[in-house]
Amino acid sequence: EYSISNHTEEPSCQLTTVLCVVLGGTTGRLHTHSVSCGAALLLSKMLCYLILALAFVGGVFSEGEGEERARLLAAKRVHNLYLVEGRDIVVQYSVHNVGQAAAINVQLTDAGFSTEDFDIAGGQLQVKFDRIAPNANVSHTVVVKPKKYGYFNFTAAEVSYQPSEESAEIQIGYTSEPGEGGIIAFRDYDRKFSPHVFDWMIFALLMIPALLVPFLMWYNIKSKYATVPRSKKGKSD
Amino acid sequence: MNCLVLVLAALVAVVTGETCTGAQVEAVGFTSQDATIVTKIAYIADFTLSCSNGAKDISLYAETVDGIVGVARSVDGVKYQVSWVEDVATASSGERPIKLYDEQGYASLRKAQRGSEDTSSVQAIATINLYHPGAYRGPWVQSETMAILAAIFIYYYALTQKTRLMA
Repeated sequence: EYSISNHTEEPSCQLTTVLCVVLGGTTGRLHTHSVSCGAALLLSKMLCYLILALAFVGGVFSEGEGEERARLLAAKRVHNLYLVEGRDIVVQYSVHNVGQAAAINVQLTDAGFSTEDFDIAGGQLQVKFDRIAPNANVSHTVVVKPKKYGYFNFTAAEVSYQPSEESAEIQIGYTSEPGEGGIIAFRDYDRKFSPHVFDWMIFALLMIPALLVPFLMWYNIKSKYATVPRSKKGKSD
Repeated sequence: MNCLVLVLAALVAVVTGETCTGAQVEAVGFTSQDATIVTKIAYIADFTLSCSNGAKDISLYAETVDGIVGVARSVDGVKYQVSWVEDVATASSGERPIKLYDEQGYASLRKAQRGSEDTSSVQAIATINLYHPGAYRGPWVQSETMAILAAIFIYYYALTQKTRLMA
């Protein structure tokens, strides 16, 4: 974060005193020549603001060594249509470096999937990247399986990194939060979406007696009288 | 120029001790196989690297569908993970080779890319084959459709036999 390090009060006080001395004569006390000191104060304030404005502008546009920092933006996304108990949830973390320096020792930790509620099917929840170059991005994917159903709040993961190679401070940030999602119980999902092949087989099995008995009766009679083409002695279904 | 780069790279390697010779990877792969509930298929390869010269703590770069990316490591530095996602519609089944490069390999790859040279000339230190058996996108024909077709067929057969009789 850029911050203005020089204080606004001291230069104006010192400048006021100097100007008062110059304008007011030898005493150097502020209250003896109030009119000239008032003018001096106003002038010094304007000068201060001008100097500060120049310094700020200079600071923003300068590419000095102290200003180059890495800045990481991280997103966490859940790529699922439905969240089903016992089935995959695909979570992707992507980290972008929008700063001017490379981020060192980037650690990504997600403590939101506790082991009593989730199984990890693939990937690791705590990883580090040695170096993310400026204007580069990395992505990390984890697949978890929920053990329980209900509403679950997907919380943000934590990213910590060193903003540049020289600095020793650790910067901590957070990814975006996917928000709350409802994990559907498996039996509800199955009832709605599975092909129910077994149920259809049972249905077919039950229908077979109802269909087969008339068919066999007709077939026996037909085979007996098939040679007589104009016979009207067929049993209709 | 190339020679100079190589000499420099070798020098750097000697100084930092980060080359890995005779790399051996043991990989466990995972891909999403149920495409009915996810919008993207995840490809994850977890592996450990062992070098015959005993080098440890090596940064790796992998060539995936996203380009050359840095490989994530566990915090103790032992386990590595390469992962990416693909759309369900474009994900095809089969083998996906993942080439691994160390720092020198990465530097020479970037140089080759900048100079528009052939990047396959850079040797990878190891390759992982991630096998994706294909994701299940749902049955080809719905079972209700089959049931309706069977019912129509039986009815049609009975009707034709009956009209033939009545005629």
